[in-house]
Amino acid sequence: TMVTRSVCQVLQRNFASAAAAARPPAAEVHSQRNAIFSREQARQRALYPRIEKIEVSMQGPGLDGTLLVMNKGMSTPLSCARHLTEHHVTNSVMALVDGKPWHLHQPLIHSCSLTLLTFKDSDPTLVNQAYWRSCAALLGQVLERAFKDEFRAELLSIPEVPVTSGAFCCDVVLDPQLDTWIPSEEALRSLTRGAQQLIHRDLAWEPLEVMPSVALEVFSDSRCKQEEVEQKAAQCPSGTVMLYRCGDHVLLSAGPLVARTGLCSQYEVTALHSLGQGAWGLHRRAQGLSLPLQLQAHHTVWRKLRRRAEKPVRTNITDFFLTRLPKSSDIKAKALRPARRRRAVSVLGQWCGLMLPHV
Amino acid sequence: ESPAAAAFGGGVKFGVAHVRVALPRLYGRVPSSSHRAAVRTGSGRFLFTSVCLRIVGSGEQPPKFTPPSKPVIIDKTQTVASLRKFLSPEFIPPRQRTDPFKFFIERKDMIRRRKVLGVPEFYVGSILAVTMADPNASGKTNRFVGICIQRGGKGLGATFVLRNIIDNQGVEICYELYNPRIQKIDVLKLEKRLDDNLMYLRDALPEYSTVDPETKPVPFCSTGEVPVNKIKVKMRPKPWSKRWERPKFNIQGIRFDLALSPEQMERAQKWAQPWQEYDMLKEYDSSKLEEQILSEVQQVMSK
Amino acid sequence: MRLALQLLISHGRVARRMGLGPESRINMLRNILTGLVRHERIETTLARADEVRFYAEKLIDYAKKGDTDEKAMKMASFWLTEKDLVPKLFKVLAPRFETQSNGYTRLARIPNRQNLDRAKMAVLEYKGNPFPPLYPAKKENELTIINQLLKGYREERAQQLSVKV
Repeated sequence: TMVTRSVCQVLQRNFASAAAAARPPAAEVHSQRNAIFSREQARQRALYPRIEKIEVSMQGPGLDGTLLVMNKGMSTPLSCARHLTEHHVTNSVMALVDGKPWHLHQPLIHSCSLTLLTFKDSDPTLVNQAYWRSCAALLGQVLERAFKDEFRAELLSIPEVPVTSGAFCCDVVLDPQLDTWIPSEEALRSLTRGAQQLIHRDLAWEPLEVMPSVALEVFSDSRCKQEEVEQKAAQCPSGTVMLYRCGDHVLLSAGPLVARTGLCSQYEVTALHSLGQGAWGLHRRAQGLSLPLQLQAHHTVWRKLRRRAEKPVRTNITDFFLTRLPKSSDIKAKALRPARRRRAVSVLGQWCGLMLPHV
Repeated sequence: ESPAAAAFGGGVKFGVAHVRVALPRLYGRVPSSSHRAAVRTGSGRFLFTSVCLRIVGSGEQPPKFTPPSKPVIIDKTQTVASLRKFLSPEFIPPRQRTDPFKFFIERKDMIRRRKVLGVPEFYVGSILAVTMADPNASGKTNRFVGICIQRGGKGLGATFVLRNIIDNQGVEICYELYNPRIQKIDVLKLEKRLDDNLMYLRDALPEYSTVDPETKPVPFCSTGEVPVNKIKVKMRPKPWSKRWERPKFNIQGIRFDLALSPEQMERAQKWAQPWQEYDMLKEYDSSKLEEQILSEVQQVMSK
Repeated sequence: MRLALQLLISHGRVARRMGLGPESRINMLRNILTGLVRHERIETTLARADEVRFYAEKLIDYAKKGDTDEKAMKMASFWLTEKDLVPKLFKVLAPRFETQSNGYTRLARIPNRQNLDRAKMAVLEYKGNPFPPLYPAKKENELTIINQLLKGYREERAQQLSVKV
């Protein structure tokens, strides 16, 4: 069986690389996904041609008894927050609509009670989990865009890890040419910088609940994503899947995300571990650490947490044999886009003494 | 400093009003009187003058009398010091924000000086005799006897003022306690008065500040409380150098009934500040500090 | 220049000059202190509150000596203009602060006075009074994201240490 398995793997990889050769360039894929997402979004908005009013009763400290009259299928929890104070607008991360988690940008479709959740609530477990998921999604977005066109990065499903595990992670399969690549500190820093650019742009995660057929159309070029869509649709009782769009990146998510990228403050990609051969090639796991703007850590604390976030995180779903590749790399930054690489190097030159005491 | 004072001795200051006439006479007189005292007392009560004799250095006496008497006196003073637990007031630092280390350093110097010169226990109202080095005096020393009317200063700069009346002229000399020119301080009579400051003796009748320069030391009790002399002085008619009847001086030792009418006394009460004693901001409780310093001083002195 | 220097260096000036003179100052402070002992929380100008604060603490120090102490009784009867407060001082406040040696009062700034003048105002209180707290109680939330991360970190450290042992 071992032999057959390895033969299968080799065949699969050959197939995959052949497919890669035939694949359209990444930019085209992105624009296509975007277009389908926009089309579906427009279609859903057109479902409510007349403006109907709904009543939203706000709940939370100091908000009891507040009743807002909003537009059905149009107003989001964020627009409710805009009727309150700036504090609510900037600090809200998610919403609870009738006790169910609700994305801040998702339109309300019936009269309900609304609670705005923040990082500093008495029980922010839900928010923390959503934040961790969002950071992982951001990391996936960065990984997908970080490589040159000839190297394809395929995102796998985002593993759900608890916050106490110390790092969020994002599984990725890189191009087979990069199987021997070992990411250097510099490469990780360039990834961090990419994420921080996204954070700086303060992009919103736009939610869209779609039927599996639409989702399959969105991910028509990626076999593994299609499988994931089917899996998710089977798990969901309503048979739909949630799509999110951040900038021009469309992604699938297992649960609700936070409102926008600007909620992150400290963000660092800490490691890129190899998980061994999987169904789609060499699985790698990118790990990172992040803290929101409202709860920043002192640099000593951050350093300790960061050191912990470098260690490989184990999840129950993927119990691969974790291997840490030896430290030697000559291809290293070659695969990264040249512009980004140059910037990363210049940043390295400036902050070498501060950020990399051991290099 | 005036040239006269410089001639008399750098460390010696004079009472403001009384010094003008007294200077030349005093200059000639004080050393001779001390010399006389030494000579005369030698034949009388050897017990208390032996130390004095040794310092003055008039070697006319037969030496056989002196040796047994000397240790007796020293032992006595030492037991006094140990029994009464006396801390000289200049050891207590004033209430201020100065670094306590400064006072610690000063204390060390004070103790070193005290090991050389036995500074006895004395109070305002005690009668003292101070022997001081004086290059211009015959015998190079100068002895002055007077009543201590004030103690002042903290640390190494502590002073005390002796007052006496010599040839009907009041003389006050302010000695610095740690002046290296001071050779000896003798307590002729150890007692307290009703007040902590006897500056009003300037305005009192002269008999209250007159001390015979040849007074013999009075033996004092080594244990228990220091005797308080409850004498009340009669004042000269007004005007005085200060309005002693005012409540801020809180003078007990003046017979105001002879000097002032009841109306005048009542008028003086206008300046009373009865709330002062309740103002906790003005309290300075140095008792703990005092104990600490006392133990420190005793420890170092016993070494 | 000279004025500025004198203002800068205290030269042993520890008390503010307030009221119509020293006696007036003490009487004013007595009245405020009596109010403080009666109500345990008062609102007054910042300068007066700051001035009274010292006396309020010292009075407690005296009260701790007990009502048999002559000096303490004298002080209490002077500073409390309303005599029914003397037992309160000895029976209520002194036992309350038995475990403390200082810091019996708390001072908090409040917004400047608006109606009369723009004087700086403050609230002075004896600690342990029955009123709601002046400052909001600081709450530690174990569930915030950073505390959760630190919790994981600590657990891992403890595990590592136990393995080493």
